[in-house]
Amino acid sequence: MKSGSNLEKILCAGHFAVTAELGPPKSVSAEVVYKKAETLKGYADAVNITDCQTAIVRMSSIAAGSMLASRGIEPIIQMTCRDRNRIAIQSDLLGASALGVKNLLCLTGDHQKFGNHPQSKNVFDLDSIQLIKMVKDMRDEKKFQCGEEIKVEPHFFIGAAENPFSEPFEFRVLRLAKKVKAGIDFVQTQVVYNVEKFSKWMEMVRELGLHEKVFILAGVAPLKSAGMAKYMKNNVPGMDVPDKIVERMTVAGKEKAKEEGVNICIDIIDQVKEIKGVAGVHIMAIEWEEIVPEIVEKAGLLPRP
Amino acid sequence: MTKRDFKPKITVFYCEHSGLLSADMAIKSGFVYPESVRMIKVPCSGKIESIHIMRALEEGDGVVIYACHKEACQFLRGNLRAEARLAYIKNILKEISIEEERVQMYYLSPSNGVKFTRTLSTFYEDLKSLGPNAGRAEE
Amino acid sequence: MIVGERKPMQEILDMIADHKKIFIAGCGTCVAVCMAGGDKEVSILSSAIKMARNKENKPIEILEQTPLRQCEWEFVDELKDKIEACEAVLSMACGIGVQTLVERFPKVIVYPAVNTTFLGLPEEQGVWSERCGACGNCVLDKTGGICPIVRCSKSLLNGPCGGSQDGKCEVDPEVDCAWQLIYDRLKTLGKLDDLTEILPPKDWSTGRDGGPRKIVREDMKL
Repeated sequence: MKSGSNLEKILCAGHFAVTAELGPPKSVSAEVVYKKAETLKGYADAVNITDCQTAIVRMSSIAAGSMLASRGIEPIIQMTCRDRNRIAIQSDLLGASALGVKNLLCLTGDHQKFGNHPQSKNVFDLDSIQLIKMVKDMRDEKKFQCGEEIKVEPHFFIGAAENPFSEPFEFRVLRLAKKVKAGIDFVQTQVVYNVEKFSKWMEMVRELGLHEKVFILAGVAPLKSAGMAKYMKNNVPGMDVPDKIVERMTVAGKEKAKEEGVNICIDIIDQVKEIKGVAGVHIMAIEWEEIVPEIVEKAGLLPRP
Repeated sequence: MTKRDFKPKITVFYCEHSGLLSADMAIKSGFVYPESVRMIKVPCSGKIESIHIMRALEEGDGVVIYACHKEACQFLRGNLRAEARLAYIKNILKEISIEEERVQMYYLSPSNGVKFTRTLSTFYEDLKSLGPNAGRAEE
Repeated sequence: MIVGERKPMQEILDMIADHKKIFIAGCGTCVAVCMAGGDKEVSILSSAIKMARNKENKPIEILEQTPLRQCEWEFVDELKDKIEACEAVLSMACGIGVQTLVERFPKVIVYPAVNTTFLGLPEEQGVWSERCGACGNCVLDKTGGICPIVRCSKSLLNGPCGGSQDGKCEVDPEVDCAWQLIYDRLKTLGKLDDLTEILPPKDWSTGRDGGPRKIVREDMKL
């Protein structure tokens, strides 16, 4: 065991893993964190805590994660390269590990242009691949990025994100290979709506044997409305929403939109489960966390190990 | 000075391929220049630099450019350049709160005396109601 | 070359609001080529300032001159008489020119009229874009001759982020994704394997992060 985390145990034992996502509040409200966390308890093996997602200031991922851990819910801390240099990142990771955090997702981070402080300075001292390597060396080599020794090292189960739908498409798998080489243990993908394209990507993943080196969790997210589907299709870079999905949401109409969104999500889970090399799903229902239990249940993923 | 007494000082830049012939035609038809209009002939409207327009405004109330029709420039793109420069000048005028209407550009065929007379007379009257250019230097 | 852009007129007018006689100093090199601070722009700015001040009934006297380069002692020395004849200088050079004047004429007030924007090239008439971040540690050999430090919005060194779409950057659909350009070029060169190498964390100390930089060449010193 690299970290001894619940997620690592489940994946290593060959179970189909379920992770979920929790967006911390834009306030100090601990209550919000606990409330969202309780709804996910027993339905997700571990829960991602976003790190100022879309560059909007929110409660720290590590702080919220530690709160989750205290309630027996395993957090996956997200760490981006946008706001911290290598000094701050390593410092925060030492702290996170001391607080009992065992899973870490290494991300580049959304550009601050999209957030609520578009005039801020960004850091990007490291990119996500360099971050992965740094964390792996901290764990396996007991070394800081500068090469100095760490007396008591952090043990993280290291994850990364990958987007099978952005471009250049042929490079996407090579980029995953780079992340594998850099030292990840698991990967969570961008939300899958285009299963066909995802399968093609997985085929390329298998050709390189990457599915045998890391655990791949397919990202899924329930749609709330036809408008949301259209918006994601047209306005979110790196998001691929096929016409037939938009159509299903449109046909469902306003009243049944949420229901249909859940149905689509379950259909996609059913499909990706059958793809060789997919080790689990990552359900992203930001600000709709309460729907996760229903999805997990209807997708036949209960009880959790 | 009341608005009635005000005689706008205007600089007219005119292309010799269109404006010149139109002005001749206008005069033949009886048009008389207001006394405060200064005429400057250019080989092409594209030869008018931004600073020429600015300087003319600095010591006057308005500037008019007569150029050939868009696809009829003897130098192919001269009038398009003039148009772009005019837009640039209008932006500067906006930045310093001087009325953009003080600079105008008209496209003419050669020998269109009627349009020349009408546009220049209208421009003159418009400036009269606009009043003196507040940015103009004291004489 | 250094690319700049004139500051908004109001900002300039506010800087010089209390002066009655100023000297506008242009620069005949980079900012002249990018049409931000050459002799033409000096004369236009001068004219605009005069009109704006006439309008307020606070006329201003302006001297103008554009030396070949405002970043060399030899050329700025030519400006001495005009500088001394005025209350302040409005420099239309890049930030380097402004500071050259400040250092050469320590008692003179110098205001910047231009925002120094980036190091780049004129892509076509009227269009300039950034090419170099002066990071002091060039990586162009590893990235197909295309700079990810300034041309990637996140300065990524190991490939595109998830926001690359249709060859464009997620930050601005008008901006090319540097990593798409790098990928395409390395593909053309048959060198895609280069991209599988993990580039280690960059040594930023050679850049601005290491503090103000200086180069001393003993062989060139007098």
